[in-house]
Amino acid sequence: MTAREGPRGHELVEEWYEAHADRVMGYLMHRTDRETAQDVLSETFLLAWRKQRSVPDDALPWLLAAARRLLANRVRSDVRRQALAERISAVMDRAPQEVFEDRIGDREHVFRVLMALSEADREVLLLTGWYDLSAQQAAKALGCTRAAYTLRLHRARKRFRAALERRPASFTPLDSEVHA
Amino acid sequence: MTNDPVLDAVRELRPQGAEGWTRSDAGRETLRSVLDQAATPRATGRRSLRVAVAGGAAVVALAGGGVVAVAGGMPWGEDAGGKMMCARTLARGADLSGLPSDAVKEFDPKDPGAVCAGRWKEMWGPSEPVPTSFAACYYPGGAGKVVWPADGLGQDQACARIGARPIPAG
Repeated sequence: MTAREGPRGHELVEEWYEAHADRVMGYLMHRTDRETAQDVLSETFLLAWRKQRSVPDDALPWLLAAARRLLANRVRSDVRRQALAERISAVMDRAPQEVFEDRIGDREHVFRVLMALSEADREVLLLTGWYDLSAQQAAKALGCTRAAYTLRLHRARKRFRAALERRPASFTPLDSEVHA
Repeated sequence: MTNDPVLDAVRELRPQGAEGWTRSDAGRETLRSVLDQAATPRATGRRSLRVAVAGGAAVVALAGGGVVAVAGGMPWGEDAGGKMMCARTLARGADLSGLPSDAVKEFDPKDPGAVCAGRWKEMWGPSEPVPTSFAACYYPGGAGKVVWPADGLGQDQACARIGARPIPAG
């Protein structure tokens, strides 16, 4: 056992856990059942302990990337997709509709379009839109360079926007509001 | 609301997070479990041991499978159940497991996936959902016989996804 794997290593894991476990758990719970999410979270922090020399100071993207890989090994993509659809459906049942339906389309349409995207497109959009990650953090969580992340996000946004606009002709074109 | 309606649309669908979970009883218990496991020597976990044993068996079985395929000229022999592996996911680097010894007799050469499905939770744990379909493909780049979850694909497509050749049934 090295010095860093001793008590100091435990302190580090506890620090990471206190700081990031909620967000990693949120990420997992959006994609699987609670029991599996807890198992994968536990594996993620155990892996962080074992590989603590590889964990950067900004640990969140590393933890998300590890959780993402561990989850992919345990839960098939169609099951992850189904879990995600169920979590979003719960939100749609509870939240008021009027927030943006006059800008983009009704929530049901947005939901269907999002779920029809490829998993890769959906993942980059959700990492950006749901978890408040910087571009640098999201790139690390996805295991790619920042340039590759930017390109992936650009393409995913483009495909998502095109698919959103395909149906509701009565809604405001999205291009009119994007100042990217 | 930002000036980016595309990402706003995504944000609007965000489900509830897990705020406060870390300090819940489950969160505290999970941390304790992580620290306990961190204090335990690595290879003592039953799961790790099982996968390690399965990995070792895979090497033997994959090598043996090649011999059978060449010598027998048939895709599945009578004893193929003892030499085939079940993969946990449809991925080249997937965990592999040999069948439990008492499951070998359940192997049906006409439906190689059935025995993996039947023994799935025993091999991978009770919380692992059993795949609904399987594909039998040679191990990518090798001749060992592996049954993989098909992820809703047909056998040829599933095998192609991992760069493997399909094994004919029968």
